[in-house]
Amino acid sequence: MHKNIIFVVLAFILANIGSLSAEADIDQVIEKIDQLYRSNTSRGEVEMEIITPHWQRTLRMDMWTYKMEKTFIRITSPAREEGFATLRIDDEMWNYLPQTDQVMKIPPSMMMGSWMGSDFTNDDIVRESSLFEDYDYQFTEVENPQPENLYIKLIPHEDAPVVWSEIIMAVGESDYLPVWEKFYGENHELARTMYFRDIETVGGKTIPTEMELIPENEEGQKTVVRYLHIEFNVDIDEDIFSLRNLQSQQ
Amino acid sequence: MLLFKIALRNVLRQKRRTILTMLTMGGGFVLCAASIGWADGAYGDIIYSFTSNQLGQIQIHSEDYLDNPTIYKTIVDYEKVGKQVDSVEGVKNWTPRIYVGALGMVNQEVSGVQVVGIDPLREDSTTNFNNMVTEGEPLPSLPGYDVLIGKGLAKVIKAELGDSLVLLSQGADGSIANAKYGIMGIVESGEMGGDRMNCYIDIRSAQQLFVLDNQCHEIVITVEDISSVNSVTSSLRSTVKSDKLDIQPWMVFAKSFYEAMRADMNGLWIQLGIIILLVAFGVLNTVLMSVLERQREFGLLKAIGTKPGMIIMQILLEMNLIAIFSVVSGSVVALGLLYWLSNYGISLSTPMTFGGVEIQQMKATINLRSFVIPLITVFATTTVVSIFPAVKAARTDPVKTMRTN
Amino acid sequence: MNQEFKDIIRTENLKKIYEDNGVPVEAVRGVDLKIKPGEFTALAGPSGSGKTTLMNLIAGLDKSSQGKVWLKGQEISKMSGSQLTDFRRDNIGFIFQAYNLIPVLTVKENIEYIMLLQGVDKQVRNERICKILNIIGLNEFENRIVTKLSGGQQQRVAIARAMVSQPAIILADEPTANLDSANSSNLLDMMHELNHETGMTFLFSTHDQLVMEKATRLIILKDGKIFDDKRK
Repeated sequence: MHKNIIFVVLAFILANIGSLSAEADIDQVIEKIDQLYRSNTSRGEVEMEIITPHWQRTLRMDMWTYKMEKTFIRITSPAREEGFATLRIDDEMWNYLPQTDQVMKIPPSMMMGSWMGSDFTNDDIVRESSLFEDYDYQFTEVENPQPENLYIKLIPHEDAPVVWSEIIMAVGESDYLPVWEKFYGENHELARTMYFRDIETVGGKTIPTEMELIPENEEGQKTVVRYLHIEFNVDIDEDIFSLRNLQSQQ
Repeated sequence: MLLFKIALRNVLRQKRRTILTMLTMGGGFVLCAASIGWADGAYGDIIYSFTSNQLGQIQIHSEDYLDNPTIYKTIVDYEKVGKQVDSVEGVKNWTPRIYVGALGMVNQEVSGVQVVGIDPLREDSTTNFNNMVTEGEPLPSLPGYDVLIGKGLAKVIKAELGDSLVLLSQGADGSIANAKYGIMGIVESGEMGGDRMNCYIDIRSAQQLFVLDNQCHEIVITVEDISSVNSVTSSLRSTVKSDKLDIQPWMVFAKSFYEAMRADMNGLWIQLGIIILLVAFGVLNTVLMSVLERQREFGLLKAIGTKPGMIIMQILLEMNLIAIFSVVSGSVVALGLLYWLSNYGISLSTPMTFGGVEIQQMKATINLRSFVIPLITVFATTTVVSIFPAVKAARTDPVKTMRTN
Repeated sequence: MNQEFKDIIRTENLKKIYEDNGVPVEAVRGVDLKIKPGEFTALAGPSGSGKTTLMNLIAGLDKSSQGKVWLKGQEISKMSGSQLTDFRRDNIGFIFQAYNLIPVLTVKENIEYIMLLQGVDKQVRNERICKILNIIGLNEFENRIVTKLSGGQQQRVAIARAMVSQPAIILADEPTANLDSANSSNLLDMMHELNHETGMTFLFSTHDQLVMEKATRLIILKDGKIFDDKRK
């Protein structure tokens, strides 16, 4: 009898430990992804390839980030766009237009507009959302699941500053690195898909260095972003993230 | 002839009743005629000002542009298309336009704008564009860094004459389109949506900025006679032979406006229906009274060998004779009224807006249908309403009605 | 058309029952009547004896409940509505007690009306009108609207209208009822004369003593039946 009771209690405890560890798992995944591209500072060189049915072009740019709050991007080629720069501080965003030597602040109504003709919106550049803070998340099922992936459904909190109604994310089971993300719009229709590829260790971090964004309703259109070079946690002059620097044409 | 004589004398015998009936029928006729003439005049004016202002009566686009406009759906080599348009009879003028969305900034105020590339000379001769430039100067005939902006837009971005407008957009090749223009005029088209969005630059500047060499998005055409729009449209379609181009009259490209007008027209028909109903009651009253009080006469006519059909004919003839008098006298009155309304019109104390067009004065028009429609309706109503009493009269039983007292 | 007839008007066991406020009234109760061409017959009897009903049945204005009517040897109850109308128009002249005329027409036009329906030639029409106006003595009033004539004058126009198309039978329903005795006498003399001249058959319904006196045959009707029938 006693033995039996102890056995039951043990089984109960074990069962609960199991479930506790499962919860810890998904938190770890989310935290890992949240931290993936995040660092105190970063400096990198990025190539953005934009493909549309009408034209195709490749932009190169230098990029600086400071924690989650600040981003500075300056285009280095092609010639017509050289010098074009974007500064974002928190949720504000300015463009520097070298042809007219003007700084233009992007109004909130234009946040969903395209950034440089790519499939990324201004909002994508500005967004500093934290999966942890802005979303509820849980493991989910998808059609044709791959055994090497975990699938997570993210649903934003009601007051989260997020435009998606839902995000489904595939994450590698072994490395917790994102494989793809599917973004769903207001009416729960698939709006776009982002694929993560070319996992490399750069600047001391292992990250996917290529991201391909495919919008759902624009046939023959996509944008591919590649990290050509990136360093994390380097010394950066905070002056880089200033309107004065934006306008300096360096 | 005998029937006509009897009918005419019967009509003349009951002078009072005939005059009252004539007032009803003639009044109905005048009201209908005036309503139609008035509506046609007002709608004609609205259509004219609506289409002449900016839209034109016919537009050419690249196929599918209207359903889903993008910078890429252009009319290539539009000068050549324009030459073909010029060769079509009934075409008054044409003007090309480019439309591209952009961000516009004046003194750090940024707003989404619609850049409209226009040919200053053609635009003015086609849509009297320069008349809409209420402040400053129209665009010069040579391209430069000049821009005109809508009045509403000027308010939104707090722009004044002489300020610089910076435009940021994307060219048809994906490159950044960025340029700075001096605001030299304010445009008030009366169309509020457009005035809040539009800024106008020379089409050649626009072609350069958006990398659209020798292309445009729209050709706006005005016609000599607004009622010939459909025939001019079909001759344009056969002249400008390109299946990649879509040539449509205003009824198609301004569909919601056209449908609103049609719906409004339905209101007119309802109004006419009510008038006709009143006339019908008046006629019914007359014909019933005249049939009831002449039962003995019909009895006699039948006894001495008149066929029922002749009695029906007689009554219909009587009522239609009154209708003829009414329509003739009503036409004189209606003509006078419409003549006055078409010349002097009525000024509205508060301007009415319809489809974004402001209307200050309403004028009637004198056209054939203002008379023909009420004419047909009056005769049809009279006949329809009279048939039942006439048949009843024709069925009069002489034995019952002739019975002496 | 059968021209071989002895009797211009013949009825056989003629009956008419109609409902008056739901009560069946037997107005004519089996009348057998034979009238020869050219007779000048008065149908007399008290009110409600069935005179008018019998007249209407003979005229084909009313349908009998039972029995048959022959006019000029033709059985009218077998005719269609349209045939009957034409037959009436061509063969019977009507004179009613009142309301005989089309009020908006002139004397001449009223007289002309039936001939117009018949499609008689204009020349013939004018000759006949001229003649009959002489007889009734209203030549000077031919273009007067009939409502502007006296009652006696109107009845004379009615007689003219009834006779001008030269029907075989004249049916007169109390033609003198609204006239004074002088006018009545005058009118009867005129009809009598015409009867002599033309040989038309006259059938009167009446309770006017004067009419009965002038008639060559007097039939007394009582309770819907022939009570007495004598030739003078």
